[in-house]
Amino acid sequence: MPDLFFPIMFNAMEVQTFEALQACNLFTAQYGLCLSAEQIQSMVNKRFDTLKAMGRMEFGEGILKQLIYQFCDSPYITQENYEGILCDLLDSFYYFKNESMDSIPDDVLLSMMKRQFDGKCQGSTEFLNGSFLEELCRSARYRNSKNG
Amino acid sequence: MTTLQPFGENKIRHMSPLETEQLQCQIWMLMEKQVRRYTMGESSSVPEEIARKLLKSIYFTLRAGAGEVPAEQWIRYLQSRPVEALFQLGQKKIYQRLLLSKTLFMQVKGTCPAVQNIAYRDTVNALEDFFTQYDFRSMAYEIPCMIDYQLCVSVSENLSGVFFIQTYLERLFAENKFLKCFSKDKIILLLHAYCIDYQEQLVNLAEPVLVNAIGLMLLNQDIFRLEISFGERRELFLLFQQWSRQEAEENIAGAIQKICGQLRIHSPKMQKYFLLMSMELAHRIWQLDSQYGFQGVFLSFKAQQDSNIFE
Repeated sequence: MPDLFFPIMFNAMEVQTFEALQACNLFTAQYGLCLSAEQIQSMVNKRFDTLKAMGRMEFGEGILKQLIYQFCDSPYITQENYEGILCDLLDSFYYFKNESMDSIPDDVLLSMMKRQFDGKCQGSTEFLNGSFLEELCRSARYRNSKNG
Repeated sequence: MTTLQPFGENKIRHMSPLETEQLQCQIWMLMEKQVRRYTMGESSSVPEEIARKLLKSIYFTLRAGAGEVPAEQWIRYLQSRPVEALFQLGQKKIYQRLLLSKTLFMQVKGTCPAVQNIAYRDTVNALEDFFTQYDFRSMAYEIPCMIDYQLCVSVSENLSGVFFIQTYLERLFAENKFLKCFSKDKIILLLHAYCIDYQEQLVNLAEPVLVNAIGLMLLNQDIFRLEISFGERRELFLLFQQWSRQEAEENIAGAIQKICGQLRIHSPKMQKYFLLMSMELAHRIWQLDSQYGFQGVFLSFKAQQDSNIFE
C-alpha cells in the first residue's frame, strides 16, 4: 500500500495507527493484555504489509483497533500469544474480506470471527480459517452470484 | 508507483513540496469520504482496484467541476480553491448532464427510425441500463452499458462517463431526426443497396441517406427521392473532378445548409453534426480510386427481387 498511495499520507497514517494502538492498551489492560512500543510498531508494519499483500487499501485508523476491542476479552488470548494471534487474525480478516468479495461488513465479519474463535475453534486461528471462514465466504459468494 | 498520483510526475514537478503535500492531503480526505460512501460505512478498506477507480472518479469529477480550464492551468486552478468544494461543483455539473441526457434519451426513443437494425435496437435498450447503472457519485467516469451501434461520426474516446453518453445521444438524436424526414420504404431500399443484410450488420443507418441527399442536392434534384441514377452518378463524378478538395468541401457544406433548410432542422448543434458527417464524405471521395467512379458512394436502389425486403 505505501508505494501505491501518497507517501505523505502513508506517514501520517503510520503515526495515527501507532497512537490508536497505544490507546488500546488502556482498555485491554483490564484483560491483562498490553502491547509494547516495539510490538505496536511491528503491528503497524504488519498492517501495511498485509494490506499490500492482500491488494487492499485502508483509510483512517484501520481495522486493528476494532480487532483488538473485539477479541481482547477472549479466554483464548493471553499476553504470551496476544501479538501472534492479532497478526493471524489481521491476515484472516483481510483475506476473507477479499474472499467474500467485500460483501460482509467489517463489524459483521469481526463478530462472526469472534463467535467462532471462542466457540467451535477454541482459540485456533487455523481452524477458524480452514473451516468456518471458508464456508462463510463460499455462501457470501454464492449469494453474490445469485443476486447478479 | 505513480499510478495513483493525481496528475503525473511531470505536472507535480512544477509544484513545491508544500503545495504537493497540501493537495495530496485534501485529495486523501476526499478519498476517505468516498470510500466511506462507496462501502456505505461498512468497510474501512477496499480492494486496490476499487480504490483506483474511486480515485479516477474523483479526478474526473474535479475536472468536470473545473469546466473548460486548459490542461496546463489545471493544477494551478486546483490549488486556488478547496478541493472539496470543486468536487461538489463537479458532482452537480455531472448530475445536470445526467438529467439532460435522460431527456435526450427520451427524445431518441421517441424518434427511433422505423427500419430494423439489431445493433441499433440493442444499443437503445442498453442505454436505458446506463441510467439505472451509472453511479455518478463514485464511478462518474464509467459507461456501464454496451454501445454497439456505430454513429456516422464516432464520439471521441477522450470523453467518458455521462459526457460521452450525452454526446452520443445528441448525435443519435440528430441522425434520428434526419432519418425521420424521409420515407421509410425509400430508406429501406437504399440501405438494402448499401448493405444487403443491413439489419444484422454494424452499419450506420443515416450515412447512406445523407450521402445520397447531398448528391441530389448538388444536382439540384429532389432530395426526398433518395435514389441516384447511373447518369446522375456520372454527373456527380464529373462535378467532383472539376473541384479542388476545398471547393468540394465548400459545396458539400453548402448542400448541407440547403438540406437542413428543406428539412427544417434549425438547431445549430445538429447542423454542425451534419456538417461533420458530410466532411467524412468529402474525405471518402478524396480517397477513392477514380477508375471505380462513385458506384460505391452515391447509391442506386437495387432491383426489388426480394419481396421480403420491407419486412
